Amino acid sequence: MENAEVKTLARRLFKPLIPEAEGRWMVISGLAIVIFVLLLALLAEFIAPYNPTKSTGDVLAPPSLKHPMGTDNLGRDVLSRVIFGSRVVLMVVFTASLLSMSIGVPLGLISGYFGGKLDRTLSMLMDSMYAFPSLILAIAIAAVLGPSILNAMVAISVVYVPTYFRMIRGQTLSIKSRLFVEAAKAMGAGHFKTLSRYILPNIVTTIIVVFSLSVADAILTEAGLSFLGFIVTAPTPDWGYDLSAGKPYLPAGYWWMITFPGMMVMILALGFALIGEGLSELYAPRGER
Amino acid sequence: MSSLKAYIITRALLVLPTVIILLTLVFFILRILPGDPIAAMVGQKVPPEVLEKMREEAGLNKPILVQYISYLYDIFRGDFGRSMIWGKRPVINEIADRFPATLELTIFAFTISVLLGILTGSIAAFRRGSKLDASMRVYSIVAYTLFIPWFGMLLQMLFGVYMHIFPIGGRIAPGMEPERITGLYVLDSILTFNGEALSSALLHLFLPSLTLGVVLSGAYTRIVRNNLIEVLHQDFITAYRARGIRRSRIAYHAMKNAFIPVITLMGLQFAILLAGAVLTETTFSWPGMGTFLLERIQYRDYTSVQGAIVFYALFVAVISLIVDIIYALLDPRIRY
Repeated sequence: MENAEVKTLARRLFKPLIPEAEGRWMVISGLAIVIFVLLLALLAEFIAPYNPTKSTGDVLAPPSLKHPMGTDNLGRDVLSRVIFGSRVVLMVVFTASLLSMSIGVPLGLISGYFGGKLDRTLSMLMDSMYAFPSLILAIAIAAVLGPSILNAMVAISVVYVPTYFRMIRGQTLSIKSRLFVEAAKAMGAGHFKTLSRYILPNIVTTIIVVFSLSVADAILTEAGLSFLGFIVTAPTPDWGYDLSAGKPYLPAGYWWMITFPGMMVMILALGFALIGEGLSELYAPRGER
Repeated sequence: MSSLKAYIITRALLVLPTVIILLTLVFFILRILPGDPIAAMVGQKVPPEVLEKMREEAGLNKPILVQYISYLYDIFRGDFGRSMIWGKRPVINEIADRFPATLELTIFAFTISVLLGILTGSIAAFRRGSKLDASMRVYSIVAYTLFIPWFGMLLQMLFGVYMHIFPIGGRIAPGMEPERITGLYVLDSILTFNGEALSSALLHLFLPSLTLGVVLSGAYTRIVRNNLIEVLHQDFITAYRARGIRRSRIAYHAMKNAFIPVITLMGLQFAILLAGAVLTETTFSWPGMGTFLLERIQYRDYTSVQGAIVFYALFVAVISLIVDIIYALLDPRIRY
């Protein structure tokens, strides 16, 4: 890319951080949440007060100074489990989302750019998958593959391919008929060059927005699968799984076992949703807000 | 009217390819992915001759193409096979027992989500730019990110465990089930004038449908707000204002026009509604399709798992057809 092009692209990508930009607070608060959870996951060994898989001796103790989030039915410190629980969800969701992006984006680009029979077939397949309830599709795949972290990644990545495909295909369709693409082709740019140099830079912002929003959704799907027992087994800490472990103790009033893990699911999903929402507003051309 | 008829017929015919793609997808996911679904579901501990018998029962020992054709043929005849556990009942009967519970839950949740969405969205639109507008915006994002089992359990804790207002699980108090006509407890108890059953069914429905309804309402808040703002800027509204027509009447006309895109969203939200119902049913021990699917995965009842997923696929296709027809009835532009 030319120097000037790099500058334009950079300006567009970092526009959300320009002080006067509208909706900036959404991106900033979303980023703050995500960075906070990332730090929890990276520094878990140093932050967590107890071993997340070992009993502390106090069983079902309510929140106190010693155990800020209480302890569970096996005497494990809930705060420590919540901190360590961030690891599985982040790993599963990031890997799965990167996988679905690296399948969905190229397919969407090719389908939108070349059109024809391939486009019709792919679109029909992706639309059908998109119409099917995502969690149920993920459950079906996870049930067949068996419960494990790796299989959950596969299940979740399959589910989100159509999301990327549909958005990228739509964008490619609208950009390929623009004048500068026509001009590039007239001047002899091949398919690969047109796609990589003229179309791709113009959909980067879309990819970033779709990524943030689908990660937010994937977090809820991961937590759902984990809650239903398709991801981890005892004693691995994971928010969704811990929530289901606390369910039998709810009628007796042990609220702390469910409140904190579930809250973390919402906070993390909210972080990515805020980034996605804020960015989609900031990247939109002025008239379309 | 003839163009409407033509539209409906074309749209109905288009359901067929969608259904076939979905059924093919289900077929491949359940068969091709790991090689052998029965072995994957049953685990390694089963002796090979038992495994072989189970494969035979599920028709998995035949060539894949034969399996595929007989699978499609059976589904189109309404034959979903027989369950592999307990009484080995036809899967379609098992589904018929469970489906009304899911339908009842989704109807109530859907109604709550649309009403909440219209309420919050129109508040935001009529008070555009105010603090109220901003807080409705936050509501729409937060509602979407609520984790269903967590939100459901918090409601159970508050209204069930502490305040004892609503039961925390099940569809109705044991032994109170109304005589079965449709399988929808609320409707059946009204049809049989069974007041006790009606109140018990409604009490049990409240928390699960509120949970699912709130989570889904966020998307409606946003679309109602944006459409209403757009409509409020159109010329006919200005003309009404100039003529001094009452605000409530203007609001009525604006809402009517803003409602058409909401119907499209209803179609799109339907898949999310069904997925959310699986988690809601698990949280509230609701005996519907979602708990049926999970229970049969646990019992490794392969034919029932396949039947349940196929049923979901058919259901999604039918609903999208219905939504499109409603859309065409409301908006004449679609038909051409």
